[in-house]
This record gives sequence, C-alpha cells and structure tokens, in this order.
Amino acid sequence: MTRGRATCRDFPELSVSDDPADRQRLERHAAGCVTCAARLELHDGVVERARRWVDEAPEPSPELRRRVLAAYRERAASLAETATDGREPPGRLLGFPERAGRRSRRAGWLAAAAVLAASLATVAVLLAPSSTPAPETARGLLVSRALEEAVEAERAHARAIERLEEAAAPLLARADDPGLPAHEASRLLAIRDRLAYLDSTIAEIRLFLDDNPAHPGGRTLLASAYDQKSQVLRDLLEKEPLS
Amino acid sequence: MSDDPTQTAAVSELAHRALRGDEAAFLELYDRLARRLHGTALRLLGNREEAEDVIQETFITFLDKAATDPPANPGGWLHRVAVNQCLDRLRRRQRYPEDAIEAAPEGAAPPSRGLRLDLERAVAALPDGAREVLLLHDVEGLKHREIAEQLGISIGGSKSQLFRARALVRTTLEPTPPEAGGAA
Repeated sequence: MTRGRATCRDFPELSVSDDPADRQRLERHAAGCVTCAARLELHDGVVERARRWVDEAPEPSPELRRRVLAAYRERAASLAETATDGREPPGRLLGFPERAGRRSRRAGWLAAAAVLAASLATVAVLLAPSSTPAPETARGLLVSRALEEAVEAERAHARAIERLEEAAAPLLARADDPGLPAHEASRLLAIRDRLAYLDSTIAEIRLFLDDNPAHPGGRTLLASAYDQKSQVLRDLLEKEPLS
Repeated sequence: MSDDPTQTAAVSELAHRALRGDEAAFLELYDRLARRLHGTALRLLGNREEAEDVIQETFITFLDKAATDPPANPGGWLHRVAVNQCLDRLRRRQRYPEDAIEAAPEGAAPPSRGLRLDLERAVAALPDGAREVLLLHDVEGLKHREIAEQLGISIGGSKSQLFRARALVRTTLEPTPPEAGGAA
C-alpha cells in the first residue's frame, strides 16, 4: 500500500489489511467520511459478532471427555515410563526408527554413519591406490564428502523445484477464481492438496535428517519426495502452459 | 487462544504434568481448553460430530507427539493442531464434494433477501473458502500470510475472500447496508 491519504476506493484493501498503520489510515479517512465510517462500523460489527459466535458455541459432549480420558489412560503407562527413563512412545511417521533419547539418537546416527562408511570404504578400498594411508581418516573424509555432495544435490533439486513452483503459481491460483468451472477448480485444488502433502512430507524428512544427517534411507526418501513434487509441477505446466 | 502469560504458564504446567502421567492435570488441561477448541472446530466444520472427532484426534496427537518434543506453548500448539485438522477435513470435502453435501451445517440455507438470518446461518451460508478465511482471520487471529500457507492460496486471495465474506455476512444481517457512493 502507498502511504498517502486514504480514499473510499482504498476501503476494500485497507479494511482487510493486517498492518495496523493501514487501519489507522482508514480510521483517519472514516473520521471525515460518513459512508466509510458506516461501512467500517458494519465490518467491525461482523468481526465482533463472529468472535462471540465461536465463544458461544455449545460445549462438547461429556462423551467426548470420556473418550479423550480413555485415550489418555491407554497411554498413561508409557507416558510415565517416558518421564522416568527418557524413552519415547511409539508413533513416529514415515517408518523411521523411533526417535529415542539423546544417547540412542546418537547411537542411531553412528550406526547409520557406520553403514554408509562401510559401503564407501569398500568402494574406497577398490579404487584407492595401494599406498593410501590411515584408513580411519580416509573413511571419515569419504563419509563427510559423500554427505556434502548429497546435501548439495538436494539444494540444487530444491532450487529447481522453487523455479517450477514460481512458474506454476499463477496456474494454481486460478483455483480461487469463482468463475472457473467447478470440475476445473476441483482438479487444481487436488493438485494444491497433493503439493501441500508433499511439502509436509519433505519438512518431516528434513527434520529427521537434521538429527540423523547420514541416514541413507532418509536421504533416499527426501530425494523421492523431491522427485514426486517436481513431477506434479512439471505435469501441471506441461498440460497447462501459461498463455 | 489466551495471550495472558499467566494462563499460558498455567496451561504449560498442566501439560507438563499430564505428559508425565498425571491424570488430574490432564483432565484440568482438557477442561480449560476443550470448549474453545471445540467452538473453533464446530464453527469451521459446521458439524458437531466431526468437531468432536477433531478434538479427540487433537488431544491424542498431543499425547503421542508432545511427549517426545514438548511444545513451548501447549495451548497454542493444540489450537494449531485442531485448526490444521479442520483444514484437512475441509480440503477433503473440496476433493470429494459429495461428502461436503452430507457434512453441510445443519440449518445452512442460502440467504434470502429481506430475511434476517442469525450469524450462524449467515456464516454457514458463505461459500467454501470465504467461511474459512473469515473464521481464521477474524476469529482465530491468523495473518493473511499464515492463512495463505494453511489454505494453499495467495495472500491476495485471502484478503479478497475476507472482504467478500464480511460483505456477504453484513448483507445478510443488514438488509439495507449503506454501501453506495461516498466522497473520497
């Protein structure tokens, strides 16, 4: 928004703005404009009544309280165990190993790193000149280099997807157009839904990899999720080139 | 949700105790938060049974996830989870419109000119998208950026839906709004 004096034409944008400065501009204008003062009062009235409406919603049933309490009791034993020994309850997503306390998380990282190191070391032994010294150092370097390369490849993938997303954004935004036929809007919303799901999956995997950077399964899953997202976007752009 | 730091601290303490197996603390946490969460879910979904399912799933998610990664603000965390679950259900309705018909709010009817409907019916009669944006912005206090992210729409789309929703509700509630003209 420009920061000059507001006019009646600015009402739609200023009245829905999150910026308090826009609200002040609108109020200053409304102080000298009977029409906008009335419109503002009506808008504020809708907001106020909507808030009261949620607060006045009927209470949940006693049955819900019983159901939630039953769920709590089912988990109470494991919660108490978690509280005393730091173990975590089941329920992790994506079939990853359960996240455990710091010690076992570190053990998991070391185990994953060891698997990766063993694989890479085998390759290194086959490829390295016979004079390669200090195998422990070489393994560490290989693991670290492999990780750097994987992370760099992921970054490049993410950047490519960002460009696809930018190109696809105007197409996906058409789903909000009230004039679009229902079946078309529904199809675009389904694509947006799929992308949102993939985004949440990617975020979940990346969180896991923050704790377990050398986990080969995690890296593979991340690459697969990136591939799927990229494919969804490419399909959309191929079918509906921007005019 | 409450922005009162004392309330937030009390809820955090209850959540902490509940996650260590203290049933009385869990029940107090539920009693403090469930009504507001349920009100939000009921208004977003317009269906009491679904709203109760959302609240149950929200508390179960809390027990399963917060135990491993306790949130700094459990009240806000529960609220976000409940809203996200409502949005997931609304998205599913968009994908499968036949479910939306079954799940339409009881008593929802298209607004008739000159007929004074109460707010519940006015909001229930809003088009999909406009209703969610109105509730998320004006009732739940989310910013347009957050709504855009959650609903998968643009920030401009969120603003225009909000303006449209308020105007429709206002028109329904006030049959003769002073909308025309005005000096700049």
